[in-house]
Amino acid sequence: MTALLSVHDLHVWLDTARGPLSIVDGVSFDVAAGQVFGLAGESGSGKTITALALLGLLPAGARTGGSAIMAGRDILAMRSSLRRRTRGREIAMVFQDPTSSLHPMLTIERQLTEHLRYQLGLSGKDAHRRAVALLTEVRIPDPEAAMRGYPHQFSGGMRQRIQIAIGLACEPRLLVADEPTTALDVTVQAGILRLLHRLCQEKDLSVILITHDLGVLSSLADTVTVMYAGRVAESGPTAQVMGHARHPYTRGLVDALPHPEAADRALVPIAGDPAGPESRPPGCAFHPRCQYSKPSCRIAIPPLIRIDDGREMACPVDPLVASMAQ
Amino acid sequence: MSTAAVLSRPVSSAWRRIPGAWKQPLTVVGLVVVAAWLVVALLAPWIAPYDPLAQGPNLYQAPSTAHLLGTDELGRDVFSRVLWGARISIPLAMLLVVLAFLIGGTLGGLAGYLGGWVDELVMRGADFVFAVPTILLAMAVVAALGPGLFHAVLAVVLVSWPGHARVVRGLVRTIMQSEYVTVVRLLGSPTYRALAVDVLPNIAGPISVLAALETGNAILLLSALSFLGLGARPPDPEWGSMVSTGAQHFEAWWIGVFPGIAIVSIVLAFNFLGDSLRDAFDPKTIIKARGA
Amino acid sequence: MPGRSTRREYGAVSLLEMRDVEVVYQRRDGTPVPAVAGASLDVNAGEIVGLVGETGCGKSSLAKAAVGLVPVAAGTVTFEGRPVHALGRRARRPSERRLQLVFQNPYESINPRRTVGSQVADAFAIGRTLPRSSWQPRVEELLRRVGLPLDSGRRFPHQLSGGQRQRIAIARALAADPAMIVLDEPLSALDSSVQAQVANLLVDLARDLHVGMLLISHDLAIVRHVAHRTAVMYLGVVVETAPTAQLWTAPMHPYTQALIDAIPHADGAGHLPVSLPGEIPDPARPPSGCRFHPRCPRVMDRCVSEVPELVAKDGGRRVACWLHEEPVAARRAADVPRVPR
Repeated sequence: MTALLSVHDLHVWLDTARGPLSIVDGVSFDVAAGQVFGLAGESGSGKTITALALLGLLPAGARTGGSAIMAGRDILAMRSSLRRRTRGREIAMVFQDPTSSLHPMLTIERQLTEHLRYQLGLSGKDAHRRAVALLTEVRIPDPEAAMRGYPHQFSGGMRQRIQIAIGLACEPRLLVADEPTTALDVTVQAGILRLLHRLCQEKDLSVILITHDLGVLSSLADTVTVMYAGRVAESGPTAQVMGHARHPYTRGLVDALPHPEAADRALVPIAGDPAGPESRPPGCAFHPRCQYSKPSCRIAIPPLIRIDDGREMACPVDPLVASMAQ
Repeated sequence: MSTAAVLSRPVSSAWRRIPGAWKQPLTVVGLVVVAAWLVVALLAPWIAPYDPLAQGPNLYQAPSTAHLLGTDELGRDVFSRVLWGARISIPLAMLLVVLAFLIGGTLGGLAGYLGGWVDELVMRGADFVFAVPTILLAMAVVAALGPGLFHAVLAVVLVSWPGHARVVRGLVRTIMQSEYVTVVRLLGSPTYRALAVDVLPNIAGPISVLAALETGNAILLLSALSFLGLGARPPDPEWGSMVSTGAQHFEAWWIGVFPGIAIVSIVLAFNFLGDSLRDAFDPKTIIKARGA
Repeated sequence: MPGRSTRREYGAVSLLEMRDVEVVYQRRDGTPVPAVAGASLDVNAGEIVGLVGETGCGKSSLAKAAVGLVPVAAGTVTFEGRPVHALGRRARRPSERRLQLVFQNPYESINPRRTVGSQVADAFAIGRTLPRSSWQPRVEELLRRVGLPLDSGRRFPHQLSGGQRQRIAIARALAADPAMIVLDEPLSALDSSVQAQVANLLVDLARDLHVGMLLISHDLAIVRHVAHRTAVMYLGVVVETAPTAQLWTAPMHPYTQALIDAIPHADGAGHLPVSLPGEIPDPARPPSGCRFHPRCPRVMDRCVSEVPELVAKDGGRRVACWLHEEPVAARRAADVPRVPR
């Protein structure tokens, strides 16, 4: 399966008063066509910055390294003008807070059709028709009336659907969704997840789904890459990574979740706090919190090892092997 | 710490960021210039080569070795007068800012804390002052009271207090509604204790920014009033009135230009200082290093 | 610890009793918005009651009304047998200081300019309950109790992580020697791995200190682990309360069932959660009869016109639903309760 997007050794540095700060430290992954690629991590993992790097939306003072090849071109190396066109046309984005990404003073019609006319050069009437079609696709009730509305008149879930509609306007190949349902109620979230699932299947759309919520990833993502402190801890098919996690961090994350079967027992947290770019420990970033850590973990950054078909993990002290050896 | 935390520093470390802020070029310039003028104001009686009021035989002398910045229409040494001018403008401006802050800050604080009709009264008063062009209002006050530096100071205090009032009111209101104030109220704290312990320390930062910026403004206004003949009276070596004299003797450009440069330099310096302080306190500023 | 014996006396009476509470806000254009439209809830000493619901259900407003942060427009809030007063300009009564609130956002509920230790000591300083010499040791004891190193008292908030700050917020509430703590989404702003730490802490505190807790959360899964009883709110009313285990295995109200079905499971199995059709209505214009009826999969004629009351059932359960009120004879065959997953 040829990858739609191939990210190789992505680095992102932020220039601060104390020198360059490494936020993303050598992340590689492939996104296949028509698949949902999940990027999981807590705060400080660098997952959002990874998305911003791909979209060309990093703040001033940030530098990138590595490559991100899509349709034969390295989108990281593009000139900003070309990247702007690519961003609307081939890569779309959906953010967590639809309140701030939708213009509060423009009607839905304006926001949709302007995008269509800028990117695709459609006439006013064609743009209007296409906009109504898009709103119907994302299941906004009474699309014609909705076109005349303003963002504040819609609920959070509806605004997210509108954001998705705007994203889909130019029929992109890839949709980058950063915490698209985190701010929504659980019943509304379920609706958005189902919508994204349907859109992926019907339109052969690839999605990079960035979230800390393992449940969301489990429902929607085909493959998952778990990030910690700017590096990849584990990656592979979702069923494998979440059902049979190998990296101590992934296992810790899954164990820390409330499980219905264990509702009468205490939760199993990971000790300590997630490491961020400013507090990244030497060697393996997770070692201070890891129950399997050895002295060598403090010295060498563990490389990603291939443990199975399409599955990788960055822990030399594979707990599965360790526990079997006991 | 998450990336978001990296990109936005929390307020409490603002004082820690001041050393970093001092590395910004404009800040350094501002600090140096203000410090230099403060030194001048302090030591003028000893460093000035001539008595600023002493009239001499050499009128309208261009800058020379004897008179570094030339002499004015009465033979007085411009350099000495500029140095002594600092002793007038700077202390007065500082006094002015303190007065404006005491009056405006108290009124604004009461308005923010009590709300209701007190708030309405104070804010309408402030609105009235804002509605009138600053310099006209100041002129009107001085005209009513009679010319003189003291009256000019009063006039500038009168037009400055609303700015302080508005800022303090906003700060007090915001912080009184913050969650940590609610928490201590739930613990049983009376509101005055919350004000003293939790509110006032948190507004010290923005207030100091305002004070720095306002000092520059005050100097400008005082000079303007003196320029118009409403502030300092001759023979006081006040910069504004010196510029006014200079405007009447255009060929002897040194009479007006050097005091003018003095005004501009110190006002700019205070502004740079105020801006740097504001940046240091703004949690959203990333202190950038060179380049990038 | 002081005050224990007093609490025991109230054994039969609930620690916190809320009856038919209504909380009304004013919108900018003057329309009244009933955020809470008649909710009743009890919390006993040593038990954790979870209060769950989605946007607009009023759980946050109910939490604030419970401690007096917002006034109640109708109904009663009673703490230790005495009515709770709304917080005004005057200092809060000493008797009510044993009813505390922990906020959601640990970045905003702690003063960034003071050391965290001094803030934990606020309760002693304000209440004059301890001589000054005892403050430091007591602060250290509280820090230890919430699982923080002793020297953290000298730190400023920005030097602590979110999870640590939330522990400070809890310690600060504990310093007031509370009988009851209301926690408004205490875990939402924390990372998942840290949520488990704080959740365990709450369970330990409730058990060890015999403190009652009202835990407001939108995350049902965590509430399941932490709460002894759970109450579900929808659009300003409580629709069901039950011991937590039973709420999950045999929910009685269709909304509870919908909430449970909507939770995505992190098992890697790829099942999509079930969504609930429709939208949450405007609280200012709630539907007639049962507020949930426009979206309910089990709606009957009666639901449209008559408002179901919160009625007690066996096993300490309460539910406000006509499905469980119909006389046995009139029950339709299709109304056999579903066996949930």
